[in-house]
Parts: sequence; structure tokens; C-alpha cells
Amino acid sequence: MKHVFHNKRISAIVCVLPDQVVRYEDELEDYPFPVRQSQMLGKMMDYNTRRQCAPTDSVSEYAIQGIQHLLDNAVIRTTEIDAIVVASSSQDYIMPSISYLLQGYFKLPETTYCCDIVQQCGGYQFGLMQSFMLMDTYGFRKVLLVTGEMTSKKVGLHDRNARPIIGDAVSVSILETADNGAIYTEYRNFGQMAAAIMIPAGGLKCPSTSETAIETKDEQGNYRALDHFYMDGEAVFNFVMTKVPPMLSNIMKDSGDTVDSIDYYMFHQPNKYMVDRLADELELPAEKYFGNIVGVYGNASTATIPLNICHNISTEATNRSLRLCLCGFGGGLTCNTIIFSNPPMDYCEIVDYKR
Amino acid sequence: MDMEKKDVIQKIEVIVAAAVNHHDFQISENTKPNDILGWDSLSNAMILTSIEQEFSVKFKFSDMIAWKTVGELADIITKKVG
Repeated sequence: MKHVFHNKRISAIVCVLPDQVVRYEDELEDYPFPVRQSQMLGKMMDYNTRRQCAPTDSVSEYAIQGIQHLLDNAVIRTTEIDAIVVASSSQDYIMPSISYLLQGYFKLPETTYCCDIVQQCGGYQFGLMQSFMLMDTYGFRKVLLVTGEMTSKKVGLHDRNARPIIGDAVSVSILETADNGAIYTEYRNFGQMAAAIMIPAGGLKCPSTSETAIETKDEQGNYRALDHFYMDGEAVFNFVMTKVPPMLSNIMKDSGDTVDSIDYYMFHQPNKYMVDRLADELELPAEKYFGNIVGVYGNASTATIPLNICHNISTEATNRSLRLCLCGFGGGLTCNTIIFSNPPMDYCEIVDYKR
Repeated sequence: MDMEKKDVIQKIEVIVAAAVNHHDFQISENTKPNDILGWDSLSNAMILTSIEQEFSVKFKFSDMIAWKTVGELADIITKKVG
């Protein structure tokens, strides 16, 4: 599906991170593999540190702190918030939705539009597209987009496929009307590959029980329970390498862009290896993209692209207009891309969650 | 099999042994990843990256999926090394 929106910008992003930093090198003994081999893997994949939430933390608490931070810094006023859109797979409760919790906490008017979308790695773009639709349909001027995950709570301690890449983070973005012209968007979904990224138990189809918590050994030697996050790395890698390049080529043709005309390609980052391979395939110069987020913070799924923006280009993004390609891919499986020129942002920062 | 390809396969054997962390195998032209314990998708990524460094080559995705046996992988490497 393709659509061209017009005249909207990301005016601010704040990313709220857990204060706990965990190190890959401290957990090598947890994995059922020789330490030397895990070190070799860590070097290739750039596994270093990650941010990990506390067991009782929730996305809504981090979002509240992010929104409060924007209010305290006079980036937005509560009276300006027309809608709250949340894109996440880390719901606080089965019900109610996080957007209602946020509306209630900040005592926003009854007319505030509240919407939660269950999304994973492509969720930031999907949230942007949904927000832009709301802005066009209802004439909203400012929308809060909240994305974020606490997937570390759902990762097996003895799963070297998943644990080293998973980080936690929540982002709050302000989207508003602007005069920045066309915004090219495209999404493609591949539901036949849904099982490639999955947490099998814990939903209503397969509720968590003492049995779903039992870890069993997989073909590669990792231990994982049905309650845990699972990713078929090979399938996802092949998906990314075969589906993303033609999609990017297609949308760039529509937008009239070349590799050079785009300032930055802000990819979702499952791991550095995959991002570098994708960039090689696209023949992107190293200065046009970043692969450093997983090695510093971990992959926070829906929050990885805003984290990528705040960590790598915040100074530039707040000082000048940037032509950006935001491209997220993963759980679904899905691939969502947006190309647009974003005017200088009012705010773009990372903060630690304060307890 | 010419000498050059033999050399390449020998180097692949050393790289594979480091990646799978054992050397309970002997590699030949017809060896497939499934024949060697521990040569899974993750160690395959390590192996291909190490090969790139060892031979100063760069694999495209089409190269990464174009081989089934070590001999075919060696052919791709020799072609790239030129």
C-alpha cells in the first residue's frame, strides 16, 4: 500500500530509557555455548551493552515521564494534544489500552482521540502513517505518538539468539502540521511469515502456565520457553535482504530520490550485522546510515528508529531540515517506509527513567 | 581440483573450526553446512564474515545464498579474488 501525505513533521522526540545497563560480556556463562565462540559472535554482531527495565516497569510509566519531560521543557502544552497514538507490543494490561491510561493521567479532554496499535519493529512508521491519517481526517494539529517495548521481560536467559539483542525503551514523538511538502509512505505485509517473530504463549490463545514456562533446547542449542520471545534469525535475514531493497528502490522512484538526495537512512536495527548487510546491498555510503543502536541500547523494536534519530542525528535534526528515509522491518512480518523532508525539530533528546 | 581451490578450502576449514568451536570434521568440496555440528545460520554469518576478512572480499546477498557445498563457496571466493 502506498500513500502520499502532505505537510506534516516530527517536531519533537524524547526517548526514555531504563537506567539499568547490562553487558553482554557479563552473561556469556549463561549461554549454552563455549565462551570463546560467544565472544566471536559478540564481536561480529557488535553486542556490547543494552538497557533493561525493572520487572515492574511499564510502557505507560515511561511514556508519562517522556510526556511530562516535553511539558516541562515547554515543547508542548496539554491543551494542544489532539490525539494519543500508541504503537507497541508491550501493553501494560490486556485492557485498558495505554493511550487511555495516558489520557487519564494527564487529565486530557474527553475529546482526545486515543488509539493503541499492536506493532513490532515496523511500528514507528506505522504509527506515523496512522497519525498522519488522523490529522488529515479529523484536522488534528498535534498528535502524540508513543512507541516502546519492554521485551526483555519476555526473553529466555539461556537464549543467545534473542537475549543479546533485546533492549527496552519508550519514545514519545510530537507530530504536527507543517509546510514540508510531500511525505511518501509505503507498507507491505507478509503475514504468512508471522511465526518468524513470535512470543507463542501469554495471549488468550495460549495463556501462560507452569508448562509454558519450561525451557527446552532448540536445534541450535539455545534454551527457550513458549513464554519467551522467539526469532527465526535466518528467515528474518532472508526476508530483509530480499524484500527491503526492492521496496526502497520503488518508493525512491516515486519520491524522485537518489541515494545522494537523502540525508540519512534511519533503519530499524535488529543487529549491526543485518543493517550493514542491508546497506551493502543498497550500496549506501557508511555516512548515510547507522548500525550502532543495538550495541549501545539493544533493539527496542518500535522505539529503535526514534532512538536511532535521537542518538545519531539529534544536533543536525534540530538545526536544519533533513531529508530522511525511515525504514522499519520485522514482526508481522512487515516492512514500512517513509521518505520526507523534516524541518528542524524543536526537541530531540534521550533521557533516563527516574525512579 | 586445482591447487588454488585446495588452498581456499583449507582456509575455509580453519575458519569453520573457529566458528563452530571444534574440529571434529574434515572438509571436502562436497561438504555441506549440515554435515558439520554447529554450522547453523548464526555460525554461518560468522564464517562468511571471517571469509570476507581472510580473503579481502565482499559478499552480496546473492553470493551468500548461491552455494550449497564448500566447493561452490570456494568457487565464489576464487572468482572474487580473481
